[in-house]
Amino acid sequence: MSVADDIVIHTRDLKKHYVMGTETVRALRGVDVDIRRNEYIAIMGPSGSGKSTLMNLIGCLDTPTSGEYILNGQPVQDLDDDDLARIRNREIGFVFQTFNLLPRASALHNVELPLIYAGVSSRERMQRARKALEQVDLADRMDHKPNELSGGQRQRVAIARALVNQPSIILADEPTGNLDSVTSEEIMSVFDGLHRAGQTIIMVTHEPHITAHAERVITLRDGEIESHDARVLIPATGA
Amino acid sequence: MGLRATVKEGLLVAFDSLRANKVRSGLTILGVTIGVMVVLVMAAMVQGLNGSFKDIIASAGPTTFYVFHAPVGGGGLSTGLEEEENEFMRNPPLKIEWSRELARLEPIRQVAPGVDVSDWGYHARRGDTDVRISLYGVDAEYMDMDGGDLVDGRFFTATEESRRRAVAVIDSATAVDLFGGLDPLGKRFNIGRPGQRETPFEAVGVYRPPDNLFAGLKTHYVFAPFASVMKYVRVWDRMVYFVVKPHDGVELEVALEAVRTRMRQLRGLSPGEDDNFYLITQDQVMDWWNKFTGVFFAVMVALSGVGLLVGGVGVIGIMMISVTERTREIGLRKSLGARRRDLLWQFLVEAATLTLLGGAIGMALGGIIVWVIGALTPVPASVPLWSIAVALLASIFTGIGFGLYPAARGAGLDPVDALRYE
Ligand SMILES: Nc1ncnc2c1ncn2[C@@H]1O[C@H](COP(=O)(O)OP(=O)(O)O)[C@@H](O)[C@H]1O
Ligand SMILES: [Mg+2]
Repeated sequence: MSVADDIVIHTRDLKKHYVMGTETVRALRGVDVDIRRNEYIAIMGPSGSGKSTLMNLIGCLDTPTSGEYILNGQPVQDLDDDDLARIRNREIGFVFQTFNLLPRASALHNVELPLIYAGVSSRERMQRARKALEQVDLADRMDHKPNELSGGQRQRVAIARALVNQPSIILADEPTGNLDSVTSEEIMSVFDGLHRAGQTIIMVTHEPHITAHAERVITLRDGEIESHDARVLIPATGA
Repeated sequence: MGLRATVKEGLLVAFDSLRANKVRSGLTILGVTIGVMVVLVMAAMVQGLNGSFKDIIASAGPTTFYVFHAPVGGGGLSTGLEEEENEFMRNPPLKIEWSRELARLEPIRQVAPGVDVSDWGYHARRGDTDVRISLYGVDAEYMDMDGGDLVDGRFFTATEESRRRAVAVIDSATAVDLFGGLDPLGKRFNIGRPGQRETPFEAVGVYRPPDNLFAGLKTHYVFAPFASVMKYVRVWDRMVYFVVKPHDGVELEVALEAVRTRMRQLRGLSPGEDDNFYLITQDQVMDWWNKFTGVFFAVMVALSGVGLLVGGVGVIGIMMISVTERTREIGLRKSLGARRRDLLWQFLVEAATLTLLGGAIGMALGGIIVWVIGALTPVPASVPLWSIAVALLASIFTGIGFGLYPAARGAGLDPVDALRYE
């Protein structure tokens, strides 16, 4: 196998084109990335540079127009829809800018969702969802609906949901984009904690100070990688 | 993902959206509600009528049959209305003395002539009080065959019959209307048609019709001895028929053949000629009845089909809205690992829940209507179990059938597009 064992994500010449009528948008123009287990990556870049598109490809929500993508040693282009759904379920944990919680479901039920699609028994679902909520410090908010929670709490529910099925990677697309700076720091410290516990994290952001939490920053511009910038992890707790 | 968890998830979603969109959901399921209600009530009525009908036949005795001079409504014998009317006029009436001839036949126990002028506008009058009655000329043993009860007085006797006495047994409705609170026994009233001569009759008994639908269709029964009706009321002799009771244990076919042979002699028919009289058996009446209820059933199925169709179209509409409203949710669920079939199930369960709920409401309403019918009318309407099963299945399948297209649309959405949907 050409890919090293601890490489979780390996892409070569990854391209994504959107055809809009007569026009073709080249959202990704050939991206090569390798991400190792336990890495904490920040993806930077101006709006429209292809960050979300790359995240969607990595998260198997979308398929590339061309190029190679190997996830945990498995070439993704060979997989059918059900396989991709299973990968999203087992290997990927998404965290969105807009939280994307089911508004009428409790925090607990929201966190349970991935386990429902994993076929986990309802007993075990409850246990694991509780544990995940405890991990993000929401043990006392399990039965609350999203509209009874603050923005930061909602995002923590979403993080618990991403964690609950123990994915290989957490993909967070601008997770603090809708939060004020204090709450943002609170959320970033949750990610720092996960990373310290060994979680692989890829996070899109366009706020430079957020990137300070990551080990490595990949900067995109016009669908291409502008720079790989390794840096020393700065402890989020600062103090 | 386990089917149970998917169904449960679909149920949760369904009840959420029901709670959130009560009016919209209510309107959607109205068609199904009405459809199911119609099926249920109709099925209960047919069931009840069937029961009544079988009771009547049973009370007359299974081998009892009738001799008519011409085809009677339905009967499986008529060749069309015009032909029937022709025969009604062309065939000579039955002569009353033939009933005694037929009674002499070996397989036959008893033959009673009857005359049914219940639809011919006869009235009973006492002083200024006047009611329209259903008049029957019957023999002294009529009560045995009818299944009703005498609540007061007596039935007329064979002697009264042979002496053509002007006596009558009236039903409770007639008794109340004509005599108010007074005891009608031994009192006189007049029978006749408006503008024609009236005959005084004496009330000797009060009768309660049997508890079945057919008793309920007509009211104000008056029974008088056949011969008296023929003498005083002077009804048309083409209204006369014979009720033939074979001996117990005699094969119906044997009795029929004997009566047919004798009737041909009495009619003076030569071997090549067709019968100009009709023998109607209980089976034929039952056939005719079944044909009638069959049509009734077909109409009912069509009606409820329309209801379910309307409901189904509503389901398509509401599910399209539901799918569109929850586009982002679809994207989210897919990002969490939901497969196409998981979402398909979720939406189908949602649609089926809607229609099942509509069906359940329809059943409840139908059940109430049936109960009211049972309480207020003589129809012994009762909801047959099979109709509950059919109604439930029909409403579930309406949801699944019509929900399929919107569900497939929703389940097939591209996850990225769905998540980007505003
Ligand atoms: N589904 C789509 N259809 C058409 N164009 C798209 C679609 N998704 C993204 N794009 C285009 O691709 C480019 C990259 O988009 P995106 O990856 O969302 O950028 P970023 O997340 O860095 O802001 C943009 O020009 C955007 O308009
Ligand atoms: Mg983006």
